[in-house]
Amino acid sequence: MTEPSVVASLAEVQPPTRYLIHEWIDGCVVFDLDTGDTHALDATMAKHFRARHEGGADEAAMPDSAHALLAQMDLLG
Amino acid sequence: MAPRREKIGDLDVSELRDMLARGELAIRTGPLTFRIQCDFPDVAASIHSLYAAHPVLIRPDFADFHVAVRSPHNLRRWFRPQAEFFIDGDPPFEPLPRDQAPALLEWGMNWTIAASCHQWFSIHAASLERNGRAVIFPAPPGSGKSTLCAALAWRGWRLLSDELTLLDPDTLRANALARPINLKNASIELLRSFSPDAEWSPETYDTSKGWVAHMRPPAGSVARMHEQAMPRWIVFPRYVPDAEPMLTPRSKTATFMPIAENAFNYGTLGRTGFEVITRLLDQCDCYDFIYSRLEDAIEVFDWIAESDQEPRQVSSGGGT
Repeated sequence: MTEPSVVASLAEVQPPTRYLIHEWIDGCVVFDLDTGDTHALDATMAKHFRARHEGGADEAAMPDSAHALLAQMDLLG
Repeated sequence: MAPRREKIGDLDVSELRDMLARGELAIRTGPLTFRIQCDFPDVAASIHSLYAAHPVLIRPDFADFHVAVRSPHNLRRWFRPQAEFFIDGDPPFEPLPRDQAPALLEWGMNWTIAASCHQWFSIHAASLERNGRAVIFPAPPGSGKSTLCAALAWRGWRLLSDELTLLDPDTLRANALARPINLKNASIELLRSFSPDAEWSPETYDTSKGWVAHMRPPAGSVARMHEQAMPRWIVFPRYVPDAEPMLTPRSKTATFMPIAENAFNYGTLGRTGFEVITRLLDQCDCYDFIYSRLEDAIEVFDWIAESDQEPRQVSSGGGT
């Protein structure tokens, strides 16, 4: 059996990933490992997603369409 | 000395009918073997015609699937005969009118593959090969996908499948099934004129799809049904009356969901399915294609094949 302290240190090195992201020049697709949902995002939505996912997006400044999508993806508080 | 019996077409119809009635006959279609039991003479005649070039297998030690078409045990058999498809003794769907039995066998075999073969990523799509590269048509019913597929199969492209594209999740290579091509309504007459040498099943009327017939796959495609092919193009064809041919590049992002929606096991495969589609899109050029005349379409696809370059890596991706 693995020691709890070892599990904790591994988690620090390799944080759990929730999203698989694949990017093309015209947008990206996102697979949610928690829910099994897939989202195809055009270039504009992909930009909002990436910004929010990396923690740098201002929720208040986001257009409604991006807000709705990111809320659906559990990326808004 | 007994006559050589290497292909279904080497059997005479009565011999095939007897083997089929006893459940001894099996058909190999690409990587899959179906052992079939049926005592309907029209089903025997249809198999004899559609699978003439396929290898004959008699009482094989192993078959992937054991299927049957027979009359259901209900009262309707006395006044409105029906036919029912069985896999491993169970009927997966409702019976159809008896005269649709040959088509029912074909549809049942396709259903069996789609419902069972999760070792592959299965897309409801036609696919063909030229120079080792495959084109995939994942279009919905009524788009002209099978019509275009049949025409290309008779003009220099190798038929992989007109209904089911089965991709190896590791290599992405597409399997060849070389199964009969299911055509409907006006497409039947169109293809009879376009390929006068093609062999056909008898036509079946009043099905849920209209008037249908199956076209025998070209012998060259059957002979090479163990050769996989690497996908290179994904094309969404659409028949538009009187339209000039138009090939339009398509966004890869916008192509992802239609592939997922046309896949039989995207949900079942989960992460693997997602990764298969992204890798597939990385290596394929994607197009919409509008056409009305088959000769125009042949010219366009010949151009695509001849102008092909090595696949390019155009994306990045991964978990975060």
